[in-house]
Amino acid sequence: MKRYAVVLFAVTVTATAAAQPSEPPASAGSDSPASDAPGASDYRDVLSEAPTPAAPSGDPPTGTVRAGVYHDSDQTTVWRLLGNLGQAFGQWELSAGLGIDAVTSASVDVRSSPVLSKVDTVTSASGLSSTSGGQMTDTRYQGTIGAGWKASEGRAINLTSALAKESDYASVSGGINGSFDILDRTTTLLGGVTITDNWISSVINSTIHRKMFATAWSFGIARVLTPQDAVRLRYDGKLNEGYIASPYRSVRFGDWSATLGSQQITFANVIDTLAEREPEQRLSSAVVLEWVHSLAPGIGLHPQARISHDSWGVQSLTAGADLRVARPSWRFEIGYRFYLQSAADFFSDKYVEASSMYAYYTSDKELGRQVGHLGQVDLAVVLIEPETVGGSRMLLNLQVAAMHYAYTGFTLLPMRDSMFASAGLSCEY
Amino acid sequence: MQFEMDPVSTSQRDSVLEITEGGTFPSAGPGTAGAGCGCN
Repeated sequence: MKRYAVVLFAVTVTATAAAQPSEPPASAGSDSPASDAPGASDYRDVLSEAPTPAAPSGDPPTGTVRAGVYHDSDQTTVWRLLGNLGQAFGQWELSAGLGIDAVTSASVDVRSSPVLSKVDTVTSASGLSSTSGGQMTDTRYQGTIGAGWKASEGRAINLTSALAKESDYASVSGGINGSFDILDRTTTLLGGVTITDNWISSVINSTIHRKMFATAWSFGIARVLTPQDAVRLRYDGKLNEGYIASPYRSVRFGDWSATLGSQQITFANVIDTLAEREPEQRLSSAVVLEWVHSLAPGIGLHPQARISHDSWGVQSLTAGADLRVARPSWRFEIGYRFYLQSAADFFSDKYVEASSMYAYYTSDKELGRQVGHLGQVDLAVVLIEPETVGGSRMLLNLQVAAMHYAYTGFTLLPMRDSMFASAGLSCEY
Repeated sequence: MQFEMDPVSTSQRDSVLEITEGGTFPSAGPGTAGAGCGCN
């Protein structure tokens, strides 16, 4: 159930530092030299977090609690709960987070598994109660700790670490990233590296104990072009080495046909069935270009585009834009994102020859061709305003995202619709 | 002028994309590597 491992990490770490290699901080313009243009400072609240009241001495601690649920048409549900605390000490800030994801799934991957789709085989052989026929459940726990240093001259360094555990997957991660302002602080150089060690096992086969090591890096430059415009160009890279496949997904060989059931998928004309086999190294690269533009005081537009390529032959194109509106007591954001991806070199919907004819084979639909659409709405409302400088403030955050993916040429799941909704409170004392 | 209006919301969305787009999505963290095992 590793896929969901990602969820809380991204949330908690970004909340603490906003500086993952994939999401480095862009300080260019956030504190750039004052513009002569009238009202230049007015746009800034559109494009940044709601202003924090200045405390007379020191910064107040901050806290965030969020709960959310993900559900899709592939019979998968994830309940999420996370909390995060931060405290600044002069130029330093320390943060810690805890997250829990509870997953229930009867997805195509589960129902097509020869073992997972059988109740008796799974439960009696493994002695575990974490699976039942045609359905898997799991819970993931993650803790994060971060430390950041920020100088007034526009230099910042962040250290992040995380530890995560679920029944069949464990990982530990550490990272460093930073940013450096130049050219009178109109330009920011940024970069970071994260390493992650992963331990993979299986609830249906106690002999599987594999490892995978991941290194991710990101470098970029952000520049303020005008009082209304800033751009950021970034390169992201990632190298995975080790066991990248799934211990649960199975591949059928032959010109098979399938009958989809609610608990099990029945196959006919299968000449062989094996666990999927994927290369044990994968190098991915992506270039991301973003632009933030102020349409009017309190209203901003944020288009972005991304292209990626990896050593498995997967190429993707992402394009999207969001509109942001900020007022003293609320913020609103609405966005759309388009995703287009080609298939991996070794991906096939059907491997019709004998298994010995293939070096690698997979039944992962996300390694095939896919087209995705995402729409998202965010709303943040100030519930309690500080009555005095340094007083407490509370915000209500609401978020809804809807997604539609088409998996062209994937017989078992031609499309998937997903919905994610979350609500949270952010407090500053 | 920052690129993340609300970092927590942004990362929430990104974490969902990890679910729907799997190993092709670029963010890095525990459990993110590769096409990955999992039930979905």
